[in-house]
Amino acid sequence: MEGVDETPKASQVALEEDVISSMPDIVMNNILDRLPTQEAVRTAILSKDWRYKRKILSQLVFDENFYGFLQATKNERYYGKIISSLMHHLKGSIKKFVLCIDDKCYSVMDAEDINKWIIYLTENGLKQLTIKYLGEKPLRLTSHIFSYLELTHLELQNCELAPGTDYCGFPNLLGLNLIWVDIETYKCGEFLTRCPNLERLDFSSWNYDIYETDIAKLVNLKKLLWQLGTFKNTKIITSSRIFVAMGCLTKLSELSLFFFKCQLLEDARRSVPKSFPCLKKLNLLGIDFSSKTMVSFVVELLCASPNVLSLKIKTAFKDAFQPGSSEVDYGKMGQLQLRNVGLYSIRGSKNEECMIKSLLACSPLLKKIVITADTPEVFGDDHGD
Amino acid sequence: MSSSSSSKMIELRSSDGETFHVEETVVLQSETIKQMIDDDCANAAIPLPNVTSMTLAKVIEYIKKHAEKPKDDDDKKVAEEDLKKFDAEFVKVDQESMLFDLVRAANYLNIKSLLDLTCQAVADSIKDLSVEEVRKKFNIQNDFTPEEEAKVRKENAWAFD
Repeated sequence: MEGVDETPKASQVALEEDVISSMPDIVMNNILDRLPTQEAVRTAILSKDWRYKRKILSQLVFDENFYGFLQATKNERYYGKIISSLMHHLKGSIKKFVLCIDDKCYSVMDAEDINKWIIYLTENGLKQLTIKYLGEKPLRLTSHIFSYLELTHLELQNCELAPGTDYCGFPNLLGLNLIWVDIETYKCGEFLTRCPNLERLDFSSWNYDIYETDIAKLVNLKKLLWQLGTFKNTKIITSSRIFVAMGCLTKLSELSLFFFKCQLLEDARRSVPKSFPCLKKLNLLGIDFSSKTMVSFVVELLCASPNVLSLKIKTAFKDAFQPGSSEVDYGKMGQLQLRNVGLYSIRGSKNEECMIKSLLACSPLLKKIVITADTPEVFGDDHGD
Repeated sequence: MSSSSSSKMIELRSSDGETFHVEETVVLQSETIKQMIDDDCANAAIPLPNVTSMTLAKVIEYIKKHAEKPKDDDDKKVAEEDLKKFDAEFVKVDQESMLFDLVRAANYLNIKSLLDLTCQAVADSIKDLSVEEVRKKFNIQNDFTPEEEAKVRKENAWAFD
């Protein structure tokens, strides 16, 4: 819904009766929750029936779209007030809260406001919390979050948190997405392993080294984006350690491995990885085709994942082009179920060529293959939920 | 395509007295009917006084489609895409009132996926319309006095800029 004064563009057949205004609250809630927040608020002006309908919203979404709306209408200065006022006027529980801000908003709301809201929300049935801070310095969040056990989804970007010693995990957490999040005084692995029911984990741009043994404990994972290295340290790992961890994740159906600042070492003793029959979707980012160890890893991973339908590989960005040589044993690749294959940032090295040939030879059911020198930033919505 | 033919049939009666026979496995998508079956109230025809035969026929078309089980993984992917297309077509109803009949029926029969689908369709039809257009489309009478309307507008001035 846009401003009132615009000329009607609707050519739809109008209803003979007003049926929408008398819909039960549960239906109105379902409809209003699906509108952008500003449009849900605007319904107040439709008629007296609609005056307070927005109070039955069960989610408050102040996302990029909402912030963009405030910027476009030059109302950023009211951002904090708008959130407070909407939040405190809702009738029922607020299940989902999304907040996206940058440092320009910081003059109208600060960490204290945000932390007060978080406390209020946790007292009102919050299940899903998203806070994206697009500013420079990280936003410091209240450790109160950690004593709130009801959360099912947590998504944070550029925030700092300090869990207290009494933190015992999020037993109900199903989805966790952390981008540039600092968890002070705490071993990150331990933080994760205390969320035993996690089904989706996405941590990228992470400053902590996570041990594969900790990942292996999250046995309920279905979707995992695993960035092996960190910005602080280059991770040194072997293929078998990755395979052992994966072997514990028996429900895993979607895996994205990000070999950022990661050095894959030759295993001292070669062992055949376990099979990963549940795996359907595989994204490998930062694959260095000039490294025999890494290409062998990819081949072994594919051999062990007979049911993968979609495979995407993005090569490592390297200034110097190394044509490489093919000493990898592609021959062991059996028949694959692949339907969709995408190979990105391909430079035409020998190993790349061999990989393409083997994939084509082993995938009789292939429907689509994309081979390009382009480098897409992300793989579509692969990491979303 | 649909599940086993040996499944028990359930009889449903619409508000205008028409009866429909649907497999039990299909009709269990309705929490309301499931409850009735669990409570052993489904031996005779189940009366649905709030649902017309026209709406009920559409609802049955929906739950039948959603009860189809893909045979294997390959089939599953095709089935998922097929179902998405079906859903998109399903809510393209000729008359707006039909959409609301479906919303009401989905709510009454407690079929969550159908309620979500139809509510999304309603939300999509509201989105990007002006206040006046929404009033017109849904035949909502503006019963505010100009003063009252100005007051409501002032309360949430930021949303109307």
